Amino acid sequence: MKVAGWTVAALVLAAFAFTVWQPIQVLPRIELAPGYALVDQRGQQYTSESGRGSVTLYNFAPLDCGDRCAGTDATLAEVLSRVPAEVDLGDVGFRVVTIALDPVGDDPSALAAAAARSGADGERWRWIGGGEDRVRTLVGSGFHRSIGTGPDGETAADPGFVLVDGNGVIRGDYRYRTTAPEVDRLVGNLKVLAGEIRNAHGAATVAYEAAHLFLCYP
Amino acid sequence: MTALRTSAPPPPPTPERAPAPPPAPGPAGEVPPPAPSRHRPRSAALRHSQALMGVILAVLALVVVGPRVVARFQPHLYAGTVLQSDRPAPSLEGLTFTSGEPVTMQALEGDVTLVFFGYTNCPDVCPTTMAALGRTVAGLSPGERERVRVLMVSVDPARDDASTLERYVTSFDPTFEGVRGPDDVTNRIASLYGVYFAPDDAGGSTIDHSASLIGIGPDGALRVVWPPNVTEQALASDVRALLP
Repeated sequence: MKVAGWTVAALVLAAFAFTVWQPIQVLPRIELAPGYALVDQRGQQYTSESGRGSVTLYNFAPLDCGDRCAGTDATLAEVLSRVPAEVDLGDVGFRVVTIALDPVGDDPSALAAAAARSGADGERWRWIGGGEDRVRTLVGSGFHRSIGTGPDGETAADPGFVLVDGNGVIRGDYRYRTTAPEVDRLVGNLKVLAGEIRNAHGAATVAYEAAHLFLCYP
Repeated sequence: MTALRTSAPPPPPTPERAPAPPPAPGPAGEVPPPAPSRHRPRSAALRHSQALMGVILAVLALVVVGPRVVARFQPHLYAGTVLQSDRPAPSLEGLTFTSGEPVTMQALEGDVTLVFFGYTNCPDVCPTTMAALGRTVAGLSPGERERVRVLMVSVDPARDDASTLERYVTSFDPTFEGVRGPDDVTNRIASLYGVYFAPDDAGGSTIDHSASLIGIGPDGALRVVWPPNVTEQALASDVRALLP
């Protein structure tokens, strides 16, 4: 009985220490990212399965965003430039996908123009779009962003980013700016995700599942 | 005997734990060795054998019971991806069973529901997945099987009429259920389950679609997503872990 008591006490203490010190941090598995089939800036079909196996950072922007999106575009460009050097994702790829909020139909020229303006190369950073209903359902119901009309009649949506892992699960939903620089926050969270991708194998899986269980979130 | 004993003079009182008097020195002042006790070696041997027996029993108990205790309390490690939100699974309302009865999320509560999006003319991944699901469910105990539902949502409702869909899904297991609905409803629901579908690029009659398998828990929350290549053993183990 004495041994059992000490064992239970040790387990409780270990759980407490794990929760407080968070020796392993993880990003939460929030929900499934929505499925979709749209076209990219080259006119090729791009689906939710195209990004399967890679980490994807999504954002949402009108086609004629102009200066309003300059800050977001700069953030995405900096994240893309810092990831290979600072984030070790191993064999897992990383890409940025901007979903155009305006309907583009099957004509990719508007997407190509928007992509060129924002600096998206079409490989690591793509613009994708589709019909109005499809995009509104995807962005509104799938990513939980409202789409509205701005004071000058332009399309507008909630700003922010969504981070999706290779299994198609949303791991980060960034709706609001914080005091931390946005790029640092995104790169920091990508490092946490990369750590889990690299290390959560075999026996270490238990430790990572414990981190999810004890909510060791940054 | 009793009368004799009571009439005998009482022995002098000796304290129970009084130390034994030291042995009297011998003629040369040597202390004689203590008189050998007839009982001491025997009780020491007994104590040793009892201790040995205890150790053997403890080791046996550890070997026999230990793994069972560990297995009992070890948290289940899912083969699929576990979702942590308690948010209810996206509604399947707007779809109907092949009987014509509308699908409601309330009807699914209390059971583990496995949802797969496919179509009856699907040449490869759908029959493979449905057959694997059939074998998985067949491997469950009757009690477990009663609490597991398998729904195939048709991504080709135009060609999958109710009777075709019914025949198709029940060919894998008589308890499997087919559900279908209008294109726009199916599109919306599939998207919310992380599934896309679109006619294949070649313009043929096949449909490209995600082949994930999705598990809704008895509480109605979306719990686990399995990749198409999950093994039947792993799936069965996960399904058992989802059962209340």
